[in-house]
Amino acid sequence: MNPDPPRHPDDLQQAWQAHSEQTRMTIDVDLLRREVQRQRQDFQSQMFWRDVSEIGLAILMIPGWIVLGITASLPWTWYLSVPVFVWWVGFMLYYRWRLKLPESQPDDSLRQCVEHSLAEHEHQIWLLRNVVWWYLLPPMVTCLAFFAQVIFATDVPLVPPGGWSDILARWLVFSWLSLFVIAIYYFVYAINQHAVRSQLEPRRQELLALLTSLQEESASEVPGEYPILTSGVYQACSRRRVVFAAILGLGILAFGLVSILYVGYRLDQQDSLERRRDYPLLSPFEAVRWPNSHPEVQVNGEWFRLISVNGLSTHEILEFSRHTYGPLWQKRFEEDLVELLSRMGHPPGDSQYLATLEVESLTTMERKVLKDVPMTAEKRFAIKSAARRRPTK
Amino acid sequence: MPDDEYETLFLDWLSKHGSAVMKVARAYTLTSEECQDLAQEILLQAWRSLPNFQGQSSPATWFYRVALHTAMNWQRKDKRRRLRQQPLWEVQAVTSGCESAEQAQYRETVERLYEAIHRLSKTEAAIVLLYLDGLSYREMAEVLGITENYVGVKLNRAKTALRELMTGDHDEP
Repeated sequence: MNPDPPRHPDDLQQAWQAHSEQTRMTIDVDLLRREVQRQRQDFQSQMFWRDVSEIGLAILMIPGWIVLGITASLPWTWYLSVPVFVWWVGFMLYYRWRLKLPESQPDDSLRQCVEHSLAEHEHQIWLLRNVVWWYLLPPMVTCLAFFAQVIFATDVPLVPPGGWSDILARWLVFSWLSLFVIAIYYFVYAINQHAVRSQLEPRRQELLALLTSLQEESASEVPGEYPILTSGVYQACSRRRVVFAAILGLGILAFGLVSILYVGYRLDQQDSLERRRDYPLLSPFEAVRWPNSHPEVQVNGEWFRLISVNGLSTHEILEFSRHTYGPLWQKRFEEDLVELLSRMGHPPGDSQYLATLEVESLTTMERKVLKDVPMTAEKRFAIKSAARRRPTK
Repeated sequence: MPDDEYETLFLDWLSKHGSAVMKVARAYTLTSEECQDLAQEILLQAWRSLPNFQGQSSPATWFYRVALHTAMNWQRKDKRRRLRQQPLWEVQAVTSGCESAEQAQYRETVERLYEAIHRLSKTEAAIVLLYLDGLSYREMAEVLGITENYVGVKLNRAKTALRELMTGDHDEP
């Protein structure tokens, strides 16, 4: 049964209504019409420029990125940012048009109006709270992958002549750059979370309070699209949630990075195989053996300890081979010496493949230089055949 | 409907129910500058939404809906925007000459009412405004989007709170 409407106006009602009868509102309709048109144009222009700045910029960056990558001959990880831009554009378009809320009508009831505003705020809060996953993490992974490739995959040692000091230097540079990148992205994340805390969340609380005051008292929960957000409790992230999200984020970052670099490594190996065909398959040695991981070579039927090849010390050559070919470093030294020397910037002469070898006799310990030692395919084939017969470790 | 018909209809409704705009604007703002700003925004929203009016509610409740909707989402404009905006409306006194003692008393009561309304919650303020303007429970329910039963419950509480604020018989927060 409905309660009776108020039949007899009380003193307050009487004063209120009598006072309002003493005043009249007059408006300038032409100005009102012009103002409505101006506001509509302002709104459309605002929306247009928002789309241009968010989506247009990402679209424009795609060709710009590709052109920059080609002109500067940047490695393939540079181009991983292109799918990130596409993802941004796709996500924003999807979010803007597919998940668009029905437009609120100015003459909706107060409750509908509050529910609509609440839904809008919750969408916005959701977007900003999850900005790491859809906006920050993808470019962070590609950015770090690019740095990792540039730093670790380069043939040129950062600290000559290479070795552990070079590896340490590479890790230091990579760590510093990673920290720098993470700090920048964290700054962007912090700005977004500040906006949630200082603007959106207080307004959401206000709307929730308003909606609760319009709810029947029997209704205990405020309905909403996001059950977590509409609990009515201030949604500061719990420590457990922050730790979990941080671990997950770092896990995804590490996994993404390792996956990208692994794929890159395999592609590089494939590429190396392709490129190896471009180098002559020759060797100045008749045989090679590895006591104590140092090469001893046979030239003209005599075994020597190898000191240098064409002025490059054996140590330098082996370090380069280890760094470039990983587990295949010995095999490359034995079978692909021309390629190895060429990639170190000391290719043997083009017309005739002759090597100058500095060696130490195993019997007399005398050092000598063997000039114009012919590099032949037969010698290389003999070494390769011997390697096949060698028992695997 | 042609534009001039909209204009006629709008002006007609405004002359009858336009006071709702001023009342809501004043109830939800603290300074006359903000009040002007909000009233202006309500008028713009009302003009904009007039073509969508389905005729399912009375013009009085429609004006209140638009006004309350706008007030709930209204944000204070910056000074530059306020200065750029030309005043769309003005309030004129219907009676001329000296104010009678009764009118002065009404004016004083209304001033005190606004002071009290400013201290109510937004929902209670809305209910009190509708009640003071003499809207029925059904109309109030329509404007607020709640059941008539619940209007009764809310109105009783709001009236109690209002009476306490008017008589000064309330706990300071």
